[in-house]
Parts: sequence; C-alpha cells; structure tokens
Amino acid sequence: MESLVKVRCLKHVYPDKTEVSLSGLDFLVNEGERVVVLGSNGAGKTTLLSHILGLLAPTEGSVEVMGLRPDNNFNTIRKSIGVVFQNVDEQIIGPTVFDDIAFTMRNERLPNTEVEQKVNQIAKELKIEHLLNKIPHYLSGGQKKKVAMAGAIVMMPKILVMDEPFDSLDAKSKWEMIYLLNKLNSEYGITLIITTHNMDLVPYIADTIYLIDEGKIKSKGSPRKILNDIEMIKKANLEPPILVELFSRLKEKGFSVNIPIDLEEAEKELVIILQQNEQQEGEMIEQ
Amino acid sequence: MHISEMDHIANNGHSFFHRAGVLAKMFFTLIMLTAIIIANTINTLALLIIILMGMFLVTRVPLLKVGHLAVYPAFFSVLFAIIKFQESLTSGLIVVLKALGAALTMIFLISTTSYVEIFAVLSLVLPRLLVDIFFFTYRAIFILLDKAQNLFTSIKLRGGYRPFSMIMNIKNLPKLIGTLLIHSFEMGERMHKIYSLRGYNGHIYVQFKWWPLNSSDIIIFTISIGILIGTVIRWNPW
Amino acid sequence: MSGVIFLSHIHIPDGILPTVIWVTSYLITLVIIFVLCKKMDGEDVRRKVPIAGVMAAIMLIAMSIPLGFIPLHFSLAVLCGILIGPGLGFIVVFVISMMLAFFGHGGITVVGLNTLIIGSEVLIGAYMFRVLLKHQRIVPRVVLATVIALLVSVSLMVAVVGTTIGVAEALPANQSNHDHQDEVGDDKYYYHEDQEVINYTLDEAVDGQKYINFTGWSAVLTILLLGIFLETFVTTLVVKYFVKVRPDLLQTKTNT
Repeated sequence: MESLVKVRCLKHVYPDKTEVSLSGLDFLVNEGERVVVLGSNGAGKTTLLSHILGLLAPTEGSVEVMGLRPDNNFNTIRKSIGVVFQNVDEQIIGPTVFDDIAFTMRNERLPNTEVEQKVNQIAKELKIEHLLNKIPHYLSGGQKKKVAMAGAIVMMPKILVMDEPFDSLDAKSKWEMIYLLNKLNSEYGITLIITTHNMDLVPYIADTIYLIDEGKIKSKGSPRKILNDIEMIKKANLEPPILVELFSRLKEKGFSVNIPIDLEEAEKELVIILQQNEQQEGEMIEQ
Repeated sequence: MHISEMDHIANNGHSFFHRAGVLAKMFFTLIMLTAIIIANTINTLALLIIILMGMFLVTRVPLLKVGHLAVYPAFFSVLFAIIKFQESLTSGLIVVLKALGAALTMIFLISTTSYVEIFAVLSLVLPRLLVDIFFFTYRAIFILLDKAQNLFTSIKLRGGYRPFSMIMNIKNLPKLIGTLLIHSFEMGERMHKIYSLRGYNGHIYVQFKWWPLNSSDIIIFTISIGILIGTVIRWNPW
Repeated sequence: MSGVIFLSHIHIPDGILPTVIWVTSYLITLVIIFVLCKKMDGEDVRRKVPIAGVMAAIMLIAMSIPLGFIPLHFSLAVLCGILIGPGLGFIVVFVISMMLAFFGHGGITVVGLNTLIIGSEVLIGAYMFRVLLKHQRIVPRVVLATVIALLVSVSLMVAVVGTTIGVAEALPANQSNHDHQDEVGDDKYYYHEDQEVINYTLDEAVDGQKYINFTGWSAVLTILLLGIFLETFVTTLVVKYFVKVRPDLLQTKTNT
C-alpha cells in the first residue's frame, strides 16, 4: 500500500540556529490508519507535524504528503488536511462559532446554503448546535476544542492532524473525543495523526505508534508492542500506561499474567487471576 | 481592562436594545452623536443626556459600572471649558455636556452591542484588511489579557512592582512588555500559519442579520427619528 | 494636562473641533489606509494581519499598565513602527484610536486627527530607525528615533490644540456673542476683544496647571519631558530585549 505520508531523515534548522533532526526509522502513514506519535517535550513531535503540514521546509531529508512536497504545494495539501492544535485559542478565528466552523468553506467560496448545511451537520455530530451563535472566547476549554475540531473536519479532509487533543479535557470529554475520532476514522475513512502524552488513552486510538526520543524515531509498532516495552518508554522520559506498569509488577512477583493494554483486557486478566486464586483455595480446603 | 467587561455586558443583556439589530443601534448612535454635536443650548444637551440615562436604565446596563468611563472625557473637556467659562458659564457647560453626552453615547453603544456586530457593520464601508485587523485585535486582547495579568501578578508577587516605587516599576515593566511582545509575535506567527492552513486569504466573513426588522428595531428607529426632529427643528413650547 | 494617555493622543471631546478639521482629518486618514491596504497582496495579508492584531492588542493592554503616581501611560507607537513597519503601524494606530474612542478616550470625531498625529510618530520612528540610522548601534538608534518622533508628534498635538482653542471662537456656541457684535456694528473691535480673551484665558488656564512643585508652563513642560523620557527609556529597553531574545523579529519581512 502506498503511504499517504512519508518522512525520511528529516532535519530542520530554526532561525535561532536550533537544530532538530528526526533520524532513525522512516515515518510512514497509510491511508485510513490511526497513527499516534509519542515523545517527551522537545523530542521533535511538533517539528514533525509542522513539516507534514507544510509550515516548515526541511533543511535535509524528505517529506511527502500524498506524493507532494508539502512546503512547495501548500495550497494543494492544506485542502486535504484538517488540523487541531494544542492551543485552540490561537486557531479559532471566527467571530461566532458558526463563522469559525464556516471559515474554510467561505474561503473556498462554497455557496451559503451548502455552508449552512455542512455547519449544522457537523455541529450536530459534535453536539455543539447550541453553541453556534456563541462567541468563542466565552466557551470552556472543552467546548473550544470541539469547535476547533468541527472547523477542522467540516470539509471531510483526508488526514486529520491533532496535537495533544486530550489536553484540557475532563474525563467525560476525553472519551467523547476518542469515540468521535474513531467514528471519523471508521465511517469516513479519515486518516489520523495524533501526538499525545496521555499513555492510558493511546490503546483506544492507535493502530500504529511511533516513539520519538532525542530526535530519533526509536520504535514503531502496534500499541501492544510499543506499550509493553516499559524500558524503552521510560528511557524516552514517558510514563508507561498504568495498567502495563501494574501487571508488569505482578508478573515480576510471579503471577502468570499477560500484560493488558486496555481496561477490557485488564479486567479479563484479573478475572483469570481471581478464578485461579479461588481454584487454589478450593484445592487447599479439599486437602 | 474594560473591554472584556463591556463585551460581557453587551453579550448578556436581554433588553429591547440588546435584541435589536446592529443597524438600528448604529443609527441611534449616529443620530444621538449628531444631535449632541450640533446642539447649542444647555437645555437641549441636558435633555439628550437625560434620554441617554433613561436608555441606560431601561436596558439595565449598570451605569455605575460603566459610567465612570465617561468621567475621563468629561475631565478633559474641563480644560477647554475653562477657556469658555471666561465668556460665560453657559459656554463652558456646553463644552462639558457635549463631551459627557458623546462619551455616554459611545459607551451605551458598546455596552449593548457586541464588538463583532460593530465590526460587521464597519466591514460595509472600510477595507476588508482593516476590519480583519479589528477582529484579530479583539481576539488577541482576550488571549493576551490573561497572559498580561498573570505576568503582572507574577512580577508583583516577586516584588517587582510597587505603586510608589517609580524606578523599580520603570525598570521591570519593559521586561513585562518585552516578554508579552515576544509571546504575542510568536502567537501571531502561529496564527498566520494556522489561518493559512484554514485557507485565510484576507477576509473574515461575518454574518449579521439586518432584515427583516423586529419590533425592537422599530422602537429604536422611532426614538432616533424623534431625537432628530427634536434637535433639528427649533421648538418653542411657549 | 495630567493623565495624558499616549503622550500625543488628543483628548479633545466631540463638538469642539470645527467640522472641516475633523472631516478633513478623517478623509486623509482613510485615503492613506485605503492605499496601504491596497498595497498588501494575498500572502502579505495572511502574514501581517495577525501580527497587526497582536500589536494593537499589546498597545491597548500596555496602556492600562499603571506607573504608580505618574499621570502617564505607555504609548509604544514608535516601538510599533520599529517592529511592524510604518504602513502596518499606521493602520494599527487607527484601530487603536477607534477602539479608544468607543470608550470615550478621545471623541469619535477626533479619531482621524489622532491617527494622523500618532501615525506621524510611527512613521518618523520607523523611518529613522530603519533608514536614517541603520548603521548606528542599537541604543542610539532607538533613542534618537523615539525622541525625534515624539517631539514631532507632541508639537503637532500642541499645534492642533492651540489652533483649536483659537478656532473655537468660530463655533456656533460663540455666535451669541457675535449677535452682540451686530448691535455694536464694529467687527474688528469685537474680534480683537475675543482674541484677547482667548490669549488671556489660555495663559490663565496653563497657569492653573500644577504638577508636584511646578506650576504653569513648567508643569506642562515637566510632564511632556517626563513622558518623552519614559517612552524612550521603555522603548529602548524593549528593543534591547528583542535584540537579545529574538533579533530576527527586528528584521522580518512582516515589516512594510
């Protein structure tokens, strides 16, 4: 399968002479894939995203999005990419929520009827119809995030790039966001590229994980492969998911368990342990 | 900073004036300002100010909260009034009342009308680029105000600002401004990239409904025309 | 003259200036702005509009920073010109003047005039910093640019205010005096008397000014000089800060 996004041996030198390199493995994203990029602060995640979006030109290496160089084909690429940045305050531009969601469509000169229809549709999808006439800066952090998201996906882009999407969201909103992202991926085929620190949510939102550490793509693989490698995660200055940490310790203590990566698996493993325990107790009593 | 307070009052009011369309409100403001500027007698000016005060009361805009903004221009008008007082008390009072009336009119407008609507009307006559800058300024104020307040609090907590310590304040405030400026410019650069991604090509579209007129619009147009007639035609009730 | 925001920002209320002056100022300002807006093309616009917006926001916020017992506030107009260029800076000044007028800081009719006067500060400051003094070291560059720009704009402000007070005699409010003149039948005599009244009362008005231990013209001059000194001092420190942290921002293509 031809990759939608390809980044190889990227190096960028900023105006203040700071050098950021992304060597190691190639960064490849296939169509319809859900990719999560993990890395501590300063690892190079934002640089990677900026190059994919065409905001930066590589000093060395190559970046391709849909077969084109993003920085040279900015206006073409941007029509196929939706973006939600970490600080959504800087992204929301419309005087009202409606205007903000409609922003890109109006710039593309779509007819007003179509604009209205699409805005209402996406607002309903994200459950923000009641906010359409509101002024954005009075909204809560979570509401702003939804508004930014609505603006990013209203044109149904091929790729949705999100930088720390779970930041400043409460627990309920986080799960709503995960549900929505998965829906966009499964129902509309939107490819997801997400950066996050929130390790506990990664298993629910990733098909492939890339781990970046000190400017190197250290590892690539399924959530199970990456998240089970506690040593590598800790070396990258990240905290492993709490379930992985817990069950690893249980394994070290001699319990015969598989390491789960999400709640459902953990529940199953615990049930097995408890059943085994009950069985052993029963055998001892018989004896 | 008054902008956020005024914005809040404007967006959360429920009076007939708040509900009216922006064109009616701008028409009222224009007529009121014109009437105040051309008025030449204390009686006329006083009546206009009474009408304004009445509007503040009816629309439940907290005059105590916003009225202090009118003190500032009234104070400055005193400089010019002092000169006029030499001619007559009337001339001086007229200067002060005009300043007060004009200021109250503008304050009334921004405490009953969202900035977004005002900019939308301005977009009919001003270049798009200019109106976009108005919108960006408006957005940026709210974002940067928080940052500025946090920075200022931090400086105060660390002993870097004291009301009577002029030298220390003057030494530290440039650092606050410099930090804020650099953050802002970097924010501006990020905004430019983000808006480019969203297809921004130099025009922020904003919708405002001006037709059909509702009952509030008709009331305001009526009041405005009444003021116009009352000030243009010289009345002699006796 | 205490409590002057923006050293050169005129706080003439509405209704004082003759219509011809404020209408002409507005027209000139709008023509300049229309021309400047036309000059900026697509890519330019995308880059410059957010920067202009944040600069305007910063200037409005800086205005609200109190300096303790000093009756002045920062303007940052010259800094604006240095950082974002004279053209965009001029537009920003109009935006700020308009927004201030909504709060009654200066009449809405005076916005055009305020833009021209403070805009001159932006233009002169930017031109001096970037062109005339570009081979000098940073501190003398900023100091000279700021001081000269401020002196020019303050002079313009004083000239306008002075002319206004003189011209104020022509306002309709004074026509009742001239009715008297018809009875007397001697224009020159009455006009001359008016002028004496004006000159006398301006001096009297200024004599009434007090700042700390200074009175009269000394008080006015002290405040103006203090304002120029503070503005120059702050602008210099901020530019030095930029040179240290983000020197590239002082030479960006953002500048017009």
